[in-house]
Amino acid sequence: MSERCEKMSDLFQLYSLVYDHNQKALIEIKKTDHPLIQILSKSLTEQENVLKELLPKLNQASLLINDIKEPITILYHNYDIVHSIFRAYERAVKWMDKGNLSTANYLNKLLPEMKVSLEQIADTLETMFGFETIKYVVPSFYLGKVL
Amino acid sequence: MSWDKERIDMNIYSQGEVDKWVYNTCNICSVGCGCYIAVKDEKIVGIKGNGKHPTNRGRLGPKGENQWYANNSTDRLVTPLIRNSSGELTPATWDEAMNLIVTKTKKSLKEKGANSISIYSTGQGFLEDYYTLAKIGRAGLQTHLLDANTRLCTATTEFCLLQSFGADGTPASFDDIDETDTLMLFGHNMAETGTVLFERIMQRKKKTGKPYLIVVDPRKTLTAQEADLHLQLYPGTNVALLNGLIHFILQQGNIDNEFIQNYTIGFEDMKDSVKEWTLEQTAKQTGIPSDLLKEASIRLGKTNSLVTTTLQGTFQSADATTACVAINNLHLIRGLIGKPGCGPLHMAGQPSSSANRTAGGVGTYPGQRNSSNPKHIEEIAKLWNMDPLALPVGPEKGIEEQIEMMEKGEIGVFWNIGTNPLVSLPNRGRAKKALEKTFVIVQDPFLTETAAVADVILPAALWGEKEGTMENADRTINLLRKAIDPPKGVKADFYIFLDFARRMNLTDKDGNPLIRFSNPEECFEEWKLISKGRPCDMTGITYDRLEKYNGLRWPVNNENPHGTTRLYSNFVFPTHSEYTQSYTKDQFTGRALTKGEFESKKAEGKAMIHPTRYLPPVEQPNEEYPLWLTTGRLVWHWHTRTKTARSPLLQSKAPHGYVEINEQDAKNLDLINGEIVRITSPRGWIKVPARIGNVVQRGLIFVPFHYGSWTTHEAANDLTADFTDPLSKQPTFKQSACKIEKIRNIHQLTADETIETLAEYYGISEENLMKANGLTKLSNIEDGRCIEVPISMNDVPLTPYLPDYKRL
Repeated sequence: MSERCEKMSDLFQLYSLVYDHNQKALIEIKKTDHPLIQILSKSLTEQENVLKELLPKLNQASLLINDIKEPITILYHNYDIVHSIFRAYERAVKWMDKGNLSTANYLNKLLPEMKVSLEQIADTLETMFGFETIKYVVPSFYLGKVL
Repeated sequence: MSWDKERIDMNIYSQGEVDKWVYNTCNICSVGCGCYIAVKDEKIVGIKGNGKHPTNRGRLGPKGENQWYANNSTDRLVTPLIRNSSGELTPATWDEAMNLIVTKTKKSLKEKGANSISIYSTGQGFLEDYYTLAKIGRAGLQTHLLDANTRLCTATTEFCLLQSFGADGTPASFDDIDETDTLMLFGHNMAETGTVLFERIMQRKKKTGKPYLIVVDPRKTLTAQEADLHLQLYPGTNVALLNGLIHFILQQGNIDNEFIQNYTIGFEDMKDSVKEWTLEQTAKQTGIPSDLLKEASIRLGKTNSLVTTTLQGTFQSADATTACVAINNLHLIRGLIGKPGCGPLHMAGQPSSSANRTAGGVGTYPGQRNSSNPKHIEEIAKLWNMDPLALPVGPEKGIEEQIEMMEKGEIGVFWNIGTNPLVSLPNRGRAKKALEKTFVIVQDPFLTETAAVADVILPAALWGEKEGTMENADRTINLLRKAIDPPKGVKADFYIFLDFARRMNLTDKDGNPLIRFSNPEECFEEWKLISKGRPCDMTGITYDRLEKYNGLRWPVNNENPHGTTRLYSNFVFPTHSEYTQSYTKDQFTGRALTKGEFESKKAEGKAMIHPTRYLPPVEQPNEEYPLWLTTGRLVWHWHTRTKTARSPLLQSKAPHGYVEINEQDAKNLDLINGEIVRITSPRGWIKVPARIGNVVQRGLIFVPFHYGSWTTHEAANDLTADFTDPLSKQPTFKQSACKIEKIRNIHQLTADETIETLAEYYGISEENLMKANGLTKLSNIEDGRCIEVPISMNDVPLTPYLPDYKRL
C-alpha cells in the first residue's frame, strides 16, 4: 500500500473513532436535560452529520485536500465547543446537579478521546499535505509550529 | 446638540497656584471625558474638566475627579520584585527582572510551543500599548493567546457586532443619544457607571421631555428610578424579553419591509425563532406584567428614532451575545440604524477596551482583520514584513479557556498587565490555583491581590505619567498627553514592551527589529497605516489633530476628515467575505463558521439578522441555594479599587462590601440592616453586612465586586460561577445561585433577663434585637426562650451621588 493510501486509511480509522465516540455521547446525553446539554446536543448532532459526509470521502484514493477541508475545519471548531461546553457542564453538575454525575463521568472518559484522535489527525494531515496547506484547515492550537 | 453650556468640574489640592495644566482624558469609564491635569512642582495635584470637549463640556464624574490621588499614593511600587526560593517578593533591578522574563519565555517557547505564552492585558491602557502587544504577541512570539480583562466586560460587544454587521464598531454615537426620541438602556446602570453621560441625557430630558427612557434591569437602580418605563425582569431572561417584544412588533406590522428586503438577510429564520413568544409567554418567563410588555412593544414599534445601549447587565448575563444580536435585530427590522438618533450603542466597560479590540491586542488581528482569512493574514504579514506562515490563525482562546490550559500545564508564562484577575475573575479560587501552576508576571503600579501568585512584578506608570491615545465607547479616539514623568524606577507599559522585544531579539523576516518605533506617537503613525482601508481607518488622525478637535471618531480619513458620527448611513455593511472581520459563528452553539458557510449566506454588503433562541441560565436557584446572586459596580469605586481605594473621599463613601437584600426576603429571615451574614454558593462564601431595601427584587441579592482582599472575605467572585457565553466567552457573572446564613449567638433568657437588658449587654438596639427574632412589643417572651443575637454589625450608609441634574 502506498504511503498516501496508508495515511488515508489512518484518517479513516481516526475519524471513525471520533464518530463512534460521538454517537455514544449522543446516546448518553439523551438521559438528561440541562441548558448546556441543549448546546452539546446540537454540536454533537452537527458533528454526526459532518462525519457522515466526510467518512465516505476518505475512502477515495484520489482525494484532494479541497475535497475535505470544509468538514475537517467544521469538526475542529465543533470540538472546541463540545469540549468547552462539556467542561462547563461537568462543573455545573458537581455544583448543583449531582444526580447527573454519572453522565458527566461517562462523558469525561469519552470526549477527551475525541481530542486525542483529532490531534493525531492533525499530525497525519500535516504529514500528508504540509503545514502551509493545512494552516487554515486545522486550528493553530493543534499545530504548535514556531517559525 | 449636547449640553447647553460648559461647567468646569475640578478637584485640586495645591499649596499655591498650579504650574501648568496638561491636556488629557479621563482614564476611568468608557465615556471618555476630556480633562486637564494640574501639575505643581512636578507632581499631579488635581484635575479639571475640558469645557471644549464635546463629550462632557467640562464635567467629570466622582471617580474621574478623584483618580489622581493614586498617583501620589505612598505605596506605589518603585522597583521590580522577584519571588525568591523562600516565596518572598524581593526588590530587583530592571535588568534582573526583564532577563528572568526573557529566560522563562524562551524556555516555554522551546518546551511547550508558541501557544504556551499568554498575554493578558487591560481595557485601561493605550492604543499604542495594544498595537505593540499585538505585534509582539502575534508576530514575535507567534502566540494565539492574547486576551485581556475586556473579556470580562465587553467581549460581547465585539461578537454581537461581528454577528450582525460584519465588523466591530458601535453603529450609533453619543450624538445620536442627543437626538433620539426613545432611549433604551438594556442592562446598563448608566447613572452609576457613566455618570457624565447620564447627566447629559437627563439634562436634555428635563428640558425637552425627550428621550422617552426605557430601562431594563432586574434591580431598581438609580437609572431605573429615572425611567419612564422600567422593565424589572427576572434574572437571566434578557432574550426571552427581547423575543417577546420583537414578536409583538412583528405581529403589529411595525417593521420597515423595504429596509429588511434591501439591506438585510436572515429575516425569516429570525421571525420563526420568536413565533412562540406571545405576550403571555413572555410575561410568564420574565415576570414583567403583560401590560408593561405591551407598552414597551408599542413604544419600540412606533418610535421614529431609537438608540439602545447595553452594558454588563446584558454582557455578563446568560445568552449575552444572543441578547445583543436580538437588539441589533430590533434596529434592523425597524430600519432604525444609520440615521440621526438611531442605532444600537453597545457600550464598553473601560476607558479603552474598544482600542484593545481595534488595535488587535485581543480578538482579531489589528485593524479588524479576519484571523481566518488568508488574504488578511497576508496583508498584515506584508505590513509587518513577516512570513504569513508565521502568524497564528483561526479562533483565539479567552481567559476562561486559558485557565483550563494552565490547569493542564500547557501555559508556561502568563503576563498580566494592568489588571487584577484574582479579584475580577469569576470563581477566583479556581483561577488562583491555575495561576499558581505557571510563571506569572504582574505589571501594575501597586501590589494587588494578584501579586499573591506573581513570580515577577514590574512597576508600571499610571495615568498622567505616559502618553498615548484611547478609544471610548462610541469610537472616539482621545489623546492623553504626559503630565509628569513616572516616579524613579517606574516605567510606562509601552516602554516595558519595547524593552522586552529588544531583549527577545524579535525580528521580521529579514532579521530587522520587529519593533521600529521608539515612542507612542511614532507607534501611532505606524498603526495608522495598518488601519488604512479598514472600517476603523484612522489615517486622518494625528496627535495634534486630536488635541485641536478634542477627539475624533473613526473612521477618520480623506472621505471623513473630521470623523464619523454614525456608521452605515449608506446602509452598506462590511459583510463581503473578502473584507469582513469575521465569518461569524453559529448563533446558538458559538461554533466558528468556515468561509464557505459564511459565503453561502450571501450577505455581500447586507446586515445579518439571526434567529435568537432563548436558553435559561446554566445555574439557577434550587432548594439548597434558593437565591439568585448578581454582582455589579457602585458609583464610588472602579473595578477592584486599585485606584479608587486610594482616594480618601471615594473610599470613605463606600469603605467595604455588603449584600443588598430585598426587604421581604429579609423579613422572612428576620434579618436586620447592617447584620453580618454569610453568603454561600457552591464555590465559596463571604461574610458581609446586609443592606435591606427594595432595589433588588424578591429572590435576588446583589454584591458589589469591588472588594477582593484575601483577608476580609467579602469578594463577590468567591461566589460566582465561571460559565461563559458560547460566542463571546464572556463570563456570566450576573447569574449564580446562593444562600444566606445568619451568623448569630444563641442566648437563653434567664428569669431576671429581659429584651432590654439583653440589648444593652450585647450593644444592640432593642428594636433591632426584637426584629432579629421576629418579635414585637406585644410578643410574650418567656424565661428559657432562646434569643438570637447577631455576632457582628456594620453600617452600610452608602452616600447617594447627587449629580447636577438633580438640582435642576
